Amino acid sequence: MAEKKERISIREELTQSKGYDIALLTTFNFEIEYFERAILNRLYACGTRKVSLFLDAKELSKAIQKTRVSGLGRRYAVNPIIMNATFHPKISLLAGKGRAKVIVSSANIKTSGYEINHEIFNVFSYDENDQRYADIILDALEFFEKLDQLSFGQDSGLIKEIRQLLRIQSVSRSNDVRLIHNLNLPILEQVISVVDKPVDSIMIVVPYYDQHLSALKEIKKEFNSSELQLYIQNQTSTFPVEINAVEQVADKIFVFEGFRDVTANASDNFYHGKVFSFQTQDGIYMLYGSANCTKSALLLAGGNGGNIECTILEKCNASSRDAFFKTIDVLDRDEKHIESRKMSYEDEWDGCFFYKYGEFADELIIHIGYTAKKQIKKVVVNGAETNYRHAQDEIIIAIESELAASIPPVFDISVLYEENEERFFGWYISRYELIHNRLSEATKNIVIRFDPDADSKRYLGDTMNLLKAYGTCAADLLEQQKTIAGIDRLKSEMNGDSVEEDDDYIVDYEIVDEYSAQYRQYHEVRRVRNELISSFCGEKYLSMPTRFEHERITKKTGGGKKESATRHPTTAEQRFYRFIKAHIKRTCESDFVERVDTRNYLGVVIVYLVIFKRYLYEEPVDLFSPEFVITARVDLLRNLLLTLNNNQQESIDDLIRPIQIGAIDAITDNWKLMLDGIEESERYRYNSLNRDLLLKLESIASVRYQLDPIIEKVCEGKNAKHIENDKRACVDYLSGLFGFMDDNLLKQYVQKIYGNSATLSIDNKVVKIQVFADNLNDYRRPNADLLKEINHYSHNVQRVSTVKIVISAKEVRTDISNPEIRIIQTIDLFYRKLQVQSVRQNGKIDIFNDKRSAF
Amino acid sequence: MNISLTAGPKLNRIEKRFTARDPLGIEGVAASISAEICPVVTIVTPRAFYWAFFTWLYYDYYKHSEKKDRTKNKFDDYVKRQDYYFVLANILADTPDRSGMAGVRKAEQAISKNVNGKYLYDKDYLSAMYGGMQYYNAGCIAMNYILDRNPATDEPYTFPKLHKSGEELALAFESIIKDTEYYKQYRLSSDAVPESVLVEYGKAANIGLKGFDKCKELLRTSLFETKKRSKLSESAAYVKHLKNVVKVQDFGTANLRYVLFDYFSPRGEHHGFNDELGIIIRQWEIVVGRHYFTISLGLIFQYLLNQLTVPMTIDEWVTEAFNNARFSFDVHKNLSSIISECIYAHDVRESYIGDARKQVAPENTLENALRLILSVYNRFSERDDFGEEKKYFYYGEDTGSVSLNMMMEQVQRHADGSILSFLQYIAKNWVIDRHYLTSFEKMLQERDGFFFEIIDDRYKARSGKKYDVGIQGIRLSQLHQIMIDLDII
Repeated sequence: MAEKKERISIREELTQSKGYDIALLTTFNFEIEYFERAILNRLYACGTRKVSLFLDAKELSKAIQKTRVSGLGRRYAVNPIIMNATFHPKISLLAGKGRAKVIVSSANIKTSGYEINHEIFNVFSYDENDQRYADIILDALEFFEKLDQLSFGQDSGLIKEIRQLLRIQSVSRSNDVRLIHNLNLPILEQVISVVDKPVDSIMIVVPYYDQHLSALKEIKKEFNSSELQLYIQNQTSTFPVEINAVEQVADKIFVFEGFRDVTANASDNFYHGKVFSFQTQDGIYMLYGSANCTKSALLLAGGNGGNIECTILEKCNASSRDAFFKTIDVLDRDEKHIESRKMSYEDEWDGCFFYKYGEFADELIIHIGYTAKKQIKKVVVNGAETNYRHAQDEIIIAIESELAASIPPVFDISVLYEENEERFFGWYISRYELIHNRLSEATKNIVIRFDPDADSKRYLGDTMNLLKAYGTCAADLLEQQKTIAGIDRLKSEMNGDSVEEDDDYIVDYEIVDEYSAQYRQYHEVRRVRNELISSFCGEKYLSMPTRFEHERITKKTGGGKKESATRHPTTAEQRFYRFIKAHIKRTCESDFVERVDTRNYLGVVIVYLVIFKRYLYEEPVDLFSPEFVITARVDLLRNLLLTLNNNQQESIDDLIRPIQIGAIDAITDNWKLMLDGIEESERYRYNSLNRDLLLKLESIASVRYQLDPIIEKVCEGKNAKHIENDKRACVDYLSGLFGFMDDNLLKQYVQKIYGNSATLSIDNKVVKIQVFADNLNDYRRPNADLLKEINHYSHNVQRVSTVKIVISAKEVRTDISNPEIRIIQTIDLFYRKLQVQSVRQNGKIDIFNDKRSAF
Repeated sequence: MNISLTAGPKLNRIEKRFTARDPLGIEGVAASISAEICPVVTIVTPRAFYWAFFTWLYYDYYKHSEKKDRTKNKFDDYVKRQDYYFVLANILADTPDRSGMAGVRKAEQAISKNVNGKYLYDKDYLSAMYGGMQYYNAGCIAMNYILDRNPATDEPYTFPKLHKSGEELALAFESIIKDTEYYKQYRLSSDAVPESVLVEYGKAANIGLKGFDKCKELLRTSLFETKKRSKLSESAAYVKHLKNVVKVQDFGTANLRYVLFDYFSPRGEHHGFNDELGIIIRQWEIVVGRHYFTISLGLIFQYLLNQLTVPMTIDEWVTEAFNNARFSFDVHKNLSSIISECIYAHDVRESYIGDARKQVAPENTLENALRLILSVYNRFSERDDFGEEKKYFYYGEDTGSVSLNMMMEQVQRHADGSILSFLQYIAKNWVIDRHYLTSFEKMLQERDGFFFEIIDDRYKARSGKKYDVGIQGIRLSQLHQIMIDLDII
C-alpha cells in the first residue's frame, strides 16, 4: 500500500500566495467563467492583479462563444497563439519583488482541469533565501518571452517588469531538475541528451497516444534495451489497443480505473496527468507536464509541426517515483479488456479568415488574419459595415473612439468575399480599463461610503471603488448575481429548505471566505446604493442639481471661439476621466441594460450625475465636455427607462416619478441650451436627443398628460428660474416633441379631458366631440391643449377645418327656470375663431363669438 | 506560502464534500416562495419549544460566561451539552411526544450503554453547529429575540446579543425549569448527571411546551400578531381552515400536495373557500405546482444518468436515452397534440412519481415526467383568477434557474414542434446544462456536486454517484405542529 499523503490543490498553490504582483499563465483549452471566478478573483484578492494569459487561439475562440460576457481584456489580458498544431503548455509564473513561483502541470484552466481530473503538477519557488530553482524561474521567464513574440506582444511590458522585480541571476545549472520546452528542440531529443543510457525500464502514464503509436515506437527505439510499461485508465485513454496488439510496442500494460489515495468519491475521475519515468543505473528521471505520448508532443519542435509543450525533467529516487505510481489502483485485468476511446476534438480553422486580436486605447484597432488573400467585398463589425486596410498577412480595422464605444467586449465579425461569408467573434483589450484594474491601490477599501463632498483625492478613489463594486457591466453583474444566488442557495440548504421531510436535515456547510466577503460587499453596496437613491429620489430627483449653465463652463471669445473657463485636470483626474468614460460606455451596453434591475442601474446613474455635477459646476475641471455630458446623460436616462421592463419581482413604483422628473429635467436643460444660442447642427442634435428620450419616456412611463406637475417638480428640485419664467413655453416645447396623435390617441385624450362618456367622430373635415357634463360651467371654453392636438392631427393625419364640441348637461336643473341644457362650441381651426351657442330648455339659443383666440 | 514541492510530480487535490442536493439548482425557487408566504417556520423547525429553549440558552450563557468566552465555538459546546441532556431527560422521563427532536437515536444508544445511572456529556453527540437547534437560530433572529447585528449601524456583533423581548422569553422559560435539580446543580457543571435528576428535568422541560404558558403567549405574539409577519398569519389561517372546515387530519407532505394543489383550485376539484383565503390558497398552489415541476426535471435527470453507461457526447447520450425510452404516443407528433390530455388527478401524478423513483418501468420515466410538466402547464396557463401572486411564476429567472414562466413559454414555443424536440430541449437545457452550472457553483463553494465528468466533449457518469429524486417538504406541515404547540388549534 502506498503511503497515504494529503494531496495539494493546484488552484490553491496558484491563488493563495501573497506577495506576487504578476501572474503569467498558459493553457490549451479555457473556461472563462472558471478562470474568472475561481482563479482571477482569488489572484486579485491576494494582490496579484497583473494577469496575462497565453492560450491556443482556436480554444480562445471556442471559449468566448460559450461565455461572451466576461472581464476578458479588462481585468486580464489574453495572448492568443495561432498555430497549426496545438498550443499545449500548462505553466504559470507568479512574480513579485524578489520572489517568484513556477507551477508546471498537466491541467488546463477549466473546471475539470483544476477541480475534477486527476492532474499532475509541481511547484518551484524562488526568493532571496532559497535560490535553488533560479534556473527554472529564468527558463520559465524566457519561455514566456518567446511566447510573447509568438503572440502579438500586447502585454510585453509585464515580462520586462518581472525582470525588474526579480533581478534574478542564474546559479550553477542543476542536472537534477530542469524545465524543458520544445520551442527550439523536440522534447524527446532533449530527454535523450540528459538521460544516461542504458535505461532499464520506462513507465508511462498519460491519457493520450497518437493513433499510430509513433511516439511510443520512437521511445522504444531510442531506449531499446528497456522494458516499456504503460498504465492505461480504462474507458478514457486514447491508447490504440488494436495497433499495439499487432505491433506489440508496449511490453507490459497495467489497466486502472482510479487512484488509491483518494476516497471513492473522486477516485475514478479522469486521469489527465502526463508522466514518464526512465529508470537508469544512475537513478530515475521523471518527465512530467503537458506532453502526452504523441508525435506532435514529443517528436517535433513547436512551430515545426509540433505542439508547444512545457515539462519538467527531474532526477528522482525510487521512493519518489513509487510514491506516485503506487497510488494508481491497478486492476487485475489484461490489455485485451481495455476500452479505449477516440479523440473527438475539432481543432482546425474551418475558414480563410480568423481573428487575431484587438485593442481599444484611443481607438479600437482590430487585426484579422487570413490563410489566403481574397477579394473582400465587405467587412461588418458588430452589425456595421466598416472600413479596413490591408497590411502584411492581415487586414486592419480602425474604429474611432465614439463608434467603438458601442462595441461590446465580444462582438461579431463577418467578412464577405467572393461568394462566401465567414463569421466569427472578436474581442479586444480595453487598455485603460486594464491599466486601472491592475493598479494595486484598487485592491483596498472597496466601497464603504461614498461622499459627494469628499476632498478631491478621496473622492476619485471612492467613486472608482464604488463603481467597481456596483458592477457596471454585464460580466460583473452576472458574476455578482451568480455569487449571490449560489450563497442564497447554500443558505437555503443550511436552513433546510431543500430537503425532504424525512431526510437527515443536519447540514454543516460553511460558506467559503471569499464568497462570504463578496456577499458582505454586495449587501454593503446595496445599502450605499439605496441611501443614494433615497436621497436623490426623495429630494432632488434625478436632476442635475444646478442649472446646466453652458456659458459658465465655456465662454465665447470675440471670434466666437470657445475658451475654457476651467482649470486643467491633474494626472489622477485624467485617469479618473478615462475610467469613468469606459464605465459609462459599459453601463450603456445592451447586454447590461437588458439584465440589470432598475434600482441597480439607477444607483450607477446617480453616481455619474454626481460626478458631472462636481466637475462641471462645483469644481470646474477640463474633464467632461458639456457635449459628452449631454449625450451621456440622455443615454443613461434612456437606458434607465429600458430597465423598467426588467423588474418582475421587485416593486419599482417609487422610482417612476423620479425617473420621469429626471428625464424631463434633462430635456428641459437641453432645451434651455438651445434657447441660449448654439449652432444649428448642435440644435438639431439636441432636439433629436430630446425627442428620442421623451418618446421612450412616454412609451414606458407615460408623461404626456402630466407635463405641468412634472415641470413644477423640475423647478422645485433645482430652483430653476430659467424654466420657472417660461414654464408655458417649456410645456409647449415638450408637447411639440411628441409629434401628433392618431385617431385612437386623440379619442383617449378627449376622454381624459371630458370623461369616459365623451365620444369623438371625424367626418368631412369636421371633428365632432360629444360630451355629457354634470356642470356646464366647467366647459365654458374649449381645452386649448386638445385644440393643439387636433391641429397637429390636421397637419399630419387628415385635414380638419372645424371642431365642434357639444356639451350636454347630464341632468336638467330644476332650481332655475329655463336652464341651459347644451353648449355647442364651434372652432374654426384655420382662423382660430370660436363661436359658442348656449341652448336653453325652451329652445332659446344664445350665440356669441369669442374674440380671443381659441388656442 | 513560498514553498517548493519537488521529488517528482504531485497529484492535484480534487476531493471535496459530495452533495447530491438540488443537482439542477431548481429547488430554491419553491423554497423562496415558501419563505415569503410562510416566514420563520421552515420544514426543519417543527417545534415552537426550541425557539424558547434556544433564547434561554443565549440568556443563560450570557449570564454565566465571561466576555472572553463569548465565542461561537464555546457557545456551541454549551448549547450541545444542554441539548444532549434535554433529549436524554425526555427519553428517561418517557415523555411520549418526541417528534422533531434531533439526536434521539444517539441519546437512546447512550442510555442502552449506560451502566451506572449517571450520564456524562457525549461530545460526539451531534457534530453540526448548535446540534439539533441550528435552524432555530435564524428564527430567533427573525423574531428579534436575538440580535446578530447592531440595529443602528448594521455592523455584525462578534457574539449575538439578547433583545429585551428575548430576555422576557428566556425568563419565562427559566421560571419553569429553575426549580429542577438539573438547573440548580448540573447545568453549568461537567459532572455526570444522575438519571433521577434527568427524569425530573424531563418532566419539566418538554418539547410540547406543556406548562410553558407564558412562553406560548410570547411566541404567539411574535409569530402571529405583528404586522411584519402577516403572511405567516395568512398561512396559519389557511391551516385553521384546513383543519376546522375541510377537516384535514393528515398534514404530511404527500397529503398536503393533494389538499393544496387539487382541493381548492378551479382546475382541480374546485371546492369553495372563504374569499379572504383566496390569495394564500393560490400561493400555496403555486408552491406545490413548482414542486411537481421540480420533481419532473429531477426524474428526467435520474433517467438520463442511468442511461450514461459509457462516455458519450451530449447528442449521443440524449439519443441513446430516447432510444431506450418507451412512449405511448408518437414522439414525432406535435407537442400540442398531447397538451390538453395532460390533466391528472392527484393519485395519477403521484403514481408517475412513485414509479419513477422506485424504478418501476424506468423506460416510461421520460413520458411520465413530460406528462407531469404539461399537467403543471395546464394548471397555470391562462388562469384569470391569479392576481399579484403571478409574480411567483417569474421566480428563479434572476438566479439563473428555470422559472414556471419559462416553462410555460417553452411549452408554447414548442407547441407546433415535435414532442421529441421539446423533450430534447428539456434534457439539454434544463437538465444537463443546468446540472453542470449548478455543480460548478457548488464547486466554487468547495463542494462537489458533479454526477458526470466531461472528457473531451464526452460525458462520463462518475462511478458510485447515484441520484435519487428528492421531494421537498411543505412548511404548512410544520406550521400546523407549531400551532398545536402554541394552542392555536
